[in-house]
Amino acid sequence: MMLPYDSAFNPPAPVLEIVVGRPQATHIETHVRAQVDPGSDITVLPESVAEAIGLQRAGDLETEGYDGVVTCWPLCVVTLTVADVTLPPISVVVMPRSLAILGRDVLNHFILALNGKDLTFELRDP
Amino acid sequence: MVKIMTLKETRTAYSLSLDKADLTQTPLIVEHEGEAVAALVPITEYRQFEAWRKRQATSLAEPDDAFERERAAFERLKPQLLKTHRGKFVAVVDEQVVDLDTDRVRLVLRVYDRFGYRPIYVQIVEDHLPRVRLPSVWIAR
Repeated sequence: MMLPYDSAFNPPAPVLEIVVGRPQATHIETHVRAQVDPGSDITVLPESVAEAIGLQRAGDLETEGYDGVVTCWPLCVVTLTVADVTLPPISVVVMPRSLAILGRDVLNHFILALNGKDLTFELRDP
Repeated sequence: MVKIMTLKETRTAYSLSLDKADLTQTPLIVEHEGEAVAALVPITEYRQFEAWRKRQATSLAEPDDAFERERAAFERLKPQLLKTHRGKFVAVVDEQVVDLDTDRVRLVLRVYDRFGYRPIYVQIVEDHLPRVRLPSVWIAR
């Protein structure tokens, strides 16, 4: 199913709602909007999501931004449901952001089609 | 929809003439001299808020003593671990290495099974921390 780009971004960007769950606790989950970002190695969740479902820290990870700045962030293990597909548990980085970022660790589970002409996109599980 | 009730100073005790449905379905804002001073919310929302506030107190952004102790223990043990378990992930619980694996997530889940859902420190045994690239991420500080 083709989804619309989010026109709140300039230029519009592919954003969809995902479900984040605590590992081994299927009833503890929350929803968050996530931006599709094939440039990111790893998926990022907002702190508010970690707080909403009481995620516990399981380590940390260094990230390098566009400016080469290296920062250390909390790392948590979660379950993600993206485009109606529940993925195996995965480690994610937690940052003070409003939107989640879907990196290639998640996107590589799917066929991703970006139709910039129509401002629509599709994430499909082959 | 939010309801607004104006509070006036009197010598008598206040009484609210609202039916249960009003109080369980919509927030009620209480005003005093034109200023909102309190809100009545359904008890389920209040309990969710209390749980959220408790979780806020142990936010991931805040220093977590338990987690920091585990990380410090890893750093302390690292010279020895580099000799014995280089390239593997180890899990530190109560300042002890309790398990190891080549896969981080598999190890974390196994430790949760064994010790419950709690802060743990799982890290790969290498000279430097692994680093990932997030070129387009904006951080709100």
